Amino acid sequence: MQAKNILLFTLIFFFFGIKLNAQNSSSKDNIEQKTALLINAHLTYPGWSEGKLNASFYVKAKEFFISKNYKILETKVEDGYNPEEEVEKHLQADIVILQTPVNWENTPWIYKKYVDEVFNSALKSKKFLSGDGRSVEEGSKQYGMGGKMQGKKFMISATWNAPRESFNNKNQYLFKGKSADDALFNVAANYLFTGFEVVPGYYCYDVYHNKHINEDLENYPKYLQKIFNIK
Amino acid sequence: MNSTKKVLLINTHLNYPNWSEGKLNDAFHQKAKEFFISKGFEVLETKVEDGYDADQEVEKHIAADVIILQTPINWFGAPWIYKKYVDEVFNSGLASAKFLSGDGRTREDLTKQYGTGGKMQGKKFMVCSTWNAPKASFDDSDQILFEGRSTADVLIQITSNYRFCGVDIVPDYNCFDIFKDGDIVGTLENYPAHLEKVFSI
Repeated sequence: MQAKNILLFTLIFFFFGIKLNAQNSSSKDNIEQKTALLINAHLTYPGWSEGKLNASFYVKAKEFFISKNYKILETKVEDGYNPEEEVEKHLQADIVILQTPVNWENTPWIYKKYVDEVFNSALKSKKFLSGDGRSVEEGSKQYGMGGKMQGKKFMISATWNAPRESFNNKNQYLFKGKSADDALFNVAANYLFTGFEVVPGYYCYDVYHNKHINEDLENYPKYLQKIFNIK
Repeated sequence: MNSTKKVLLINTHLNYPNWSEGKLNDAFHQKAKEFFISKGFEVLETKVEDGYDADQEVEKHIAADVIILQTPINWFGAPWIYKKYVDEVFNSGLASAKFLSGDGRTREDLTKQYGTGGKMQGKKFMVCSTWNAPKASFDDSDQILFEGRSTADVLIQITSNYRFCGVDIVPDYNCFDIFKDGDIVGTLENYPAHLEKVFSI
């Protein structure tokens, strides 16, 4: 009788112990699982720009982050969004990636509408930033240091008609030595202003002539792994 | 033969009631308008928020010798309605080949550079913008956000479209720190002198 009780007790403890362990390890996984927000800002122009290339890069990134056990949050700007929900997605994300075509040297207009609406919402609720970083006490030493999003990272993946040679060369007429990152600085600036670290962008150039599209697509996951230091 | 010079004044302020109602941008727009009228220019105007026809905007650009964009800076660029305007108007100017013949590169001459296919040579473009950012945040490599960038560096997103079409870009004019310590009255007063100088009028 006594031995039977001890056995029962041991068994109960054994199972309960396993259950405790299981709970521990699963909650531990939840804490450690990172989140990536993937924003696709392509705007469809039927018969001209249908978004297949941007979708290909987008899916590459998605597959990469899934393979690294990231939780994926997604926004296709053209399909509509709720600004407050987009604020919450940004708060949850460790990494935010903007996939965009370059239309007239920048993102399609629907992306600037998205930024104005989402960042205005977060400015009012003070969820992204507490202000522009200048305090009365400190004077106006540094502008743009009032962000609350420290520890998060932002990256642009863009498709260009411009060829690679038009950047980083002072003898070039249009960009006069500027980099592709310089050309898209206005996009990065909003994330810098809210405390993000901005990592160098991944660019597919000269998309209407480029014979390197497949190669650029293939190399994209390696770039993501390296730039975000993911094992 | 009509020798009267023309200026196109584009005001792209977007109204946010009780927050940004456009008075400051309107004041700069009016200053420019008065200046060009006093110099005998014909003035063409577009208030983006009030609506426009993209093809008509192309024609206004073709008629203009000088184009000025008056804009507030919202999230480090013009309000979204301006990028919509650009995408629509420049797409129309591209489709009709009125602004440009292509991106400048040809199969025949591989030395031709990207962005040299514009047809708008001889015209000049300028941005006049109002910023929350203080003047001290620009042109100073110790500043963390802009890392030494000038206003022109931040506005390249806008000016590069005009350069792509062959238009000359002249130095921008800026009113800084408009919610705190900026010298709004002085900046407005000095605006005509800047216009006179950069357009050599």
